[in-house]
Amino acid sequence: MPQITYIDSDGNKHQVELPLGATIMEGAVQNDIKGIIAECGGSCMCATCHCYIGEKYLDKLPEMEEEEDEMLEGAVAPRTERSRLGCQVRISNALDGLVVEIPQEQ
Amino acid sequence: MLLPLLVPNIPPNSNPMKKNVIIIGAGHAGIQAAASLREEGFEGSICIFSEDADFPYQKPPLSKGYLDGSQQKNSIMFRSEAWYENNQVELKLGELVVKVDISQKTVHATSGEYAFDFLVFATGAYNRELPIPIKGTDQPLYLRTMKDADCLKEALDQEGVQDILVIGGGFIGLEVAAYAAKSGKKVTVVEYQPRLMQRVLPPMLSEHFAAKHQAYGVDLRMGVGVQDLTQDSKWLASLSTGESVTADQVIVGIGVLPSQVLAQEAGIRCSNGIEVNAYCETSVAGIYAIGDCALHPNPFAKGQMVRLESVQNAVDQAKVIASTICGKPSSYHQCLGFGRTNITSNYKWPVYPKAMTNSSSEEM
Ligand SMILES: Cc1cc2nc3c(=O)[nH]c(=O)nc-3n(C[C@H](O)[C@H](O)[C@H](O)COP(=O)(O)OP(=O)(O)OC[C@H]3O[C@@H](n4cnc5c(N)ncnc54)[C@H](O)[C@@H]3O)c2cc1C
Ligand code: FES
Repeated sequence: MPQITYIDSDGNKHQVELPLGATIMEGAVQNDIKGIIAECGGSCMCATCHCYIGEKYLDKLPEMEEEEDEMLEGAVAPRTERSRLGCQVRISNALDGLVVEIPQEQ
Repeated sequence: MLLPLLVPNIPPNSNPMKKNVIIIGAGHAGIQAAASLREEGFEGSICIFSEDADFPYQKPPLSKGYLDGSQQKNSIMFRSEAWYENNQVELKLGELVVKVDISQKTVHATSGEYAFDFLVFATGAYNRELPIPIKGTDQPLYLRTMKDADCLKEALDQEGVQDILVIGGGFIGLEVAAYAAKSGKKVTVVEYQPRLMQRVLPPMLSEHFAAKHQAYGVDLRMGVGVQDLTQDSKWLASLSTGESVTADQVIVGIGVLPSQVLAQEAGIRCSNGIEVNAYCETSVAGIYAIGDCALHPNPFAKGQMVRLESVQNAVDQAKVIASTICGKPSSYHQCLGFGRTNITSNYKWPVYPKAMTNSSSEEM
């Protein structure tokens, strides 16, 4: 299973293994990692699963749909080039070793 | 030596952070209330009663990812089991609260009687039933809970189920219609109002959604009521126009009503919802109502009393009561601002998958 490192909203590191096909949001919620709120349960309509993706993996991510792009505009923490919604990124083998940073605010 | 005299006569358990809270309802409002209480440093006990026996889950995906199979049960849970344990939030699942006694400060549930210092109604809403004569061995389908969604999915995916009638052109009806059309069914939507989602959408957007659905062959009948439903080998719906529609399955989405009977019977003021003030406090001190069940003065509606049915409203009101209970009621101003989005836009529109939308614009 791919290994993912979360840096939670307090700056603490958590290394977890996630099954293929799970989303970054689900991995955070199920492992009780602070900072991902996921109000809408992964329906791409709340932007409270905003996270910053490690630079090296940006080109390995699934492409962003228009809906996600729109929701990210409403995210509370600043949007950067590394911004994605955790519920819209599914774990693949290519993401093994990924580091995900969670902003302080959602 | 003077010190003790300066301290008012405080009963032993008066630190608000150590009192006990009972929450009725494990939807967005109830779960967020528990989470926010802990985030605010609340140390007392928190117990959530839920009539629904399923492990607490989010409702929006039920008509979206959960229905189309892209999200499974465990991916729509609010929190992991470990979270409830680590945060000492007790869940009483499958337990209906049948009575609230405001003078004794107790709730009566299936398993017994429980005392509270603070009580939170997060009881949500339930589906309005079709107020017309219905004859048949089956009932039309509704969607509110995970069980409903499982039944709906099973019914729609059954072999031979081809013609679908959706009564009600609101969010949920349209989301289900979109799913059914996408799976190749022939779908008719009957809406009483002259246009889709009249209450929350401007005419232009109603038309936009209507066109989108029609492009996929959904037969939209606007300004039409259903007068009765009869089930023989198929369902037969007689319409107010004199026409009739046949269907293998009928799905009803004609709005919800606030779950307020419990509060009403306890003597708490209710009208179209449990009435609360700007701090989400009911007519009884120490008792709060949040989410779909709460009728609140809305700053965006010039202080008029409104009841909203959205995740954001539920979550924001939960945050309000958490800080109020912890003795910091001022944060209400930030929270109740419906800041991120407005009443209509925080609903995800019933959309067709990208591929279908693209091909439609080519065809049109
Ligand atoms: C299919 C569907 C799709 C939706 N899509 C969206 C969307 O896209 N965006 C959006 O913003 N909103 C959406 N909503 C609305 C949103 O889900 C609600 O606004 C939200 O769930 C309200 O949360 P709540 O906690 O107030 O109430 P609920 O989620 O209704 O929870 C209340 C709970 O209280 C329990 N309860 C009630 N009475 C008792 C009792 N006496 N004893 C014990 N337990 C009791 C009930 O079992 C229920 O589980 C959707 C709703 C549905 C059904
Ligand atoms: S969980 Fe709501 S947008 Fe991702």
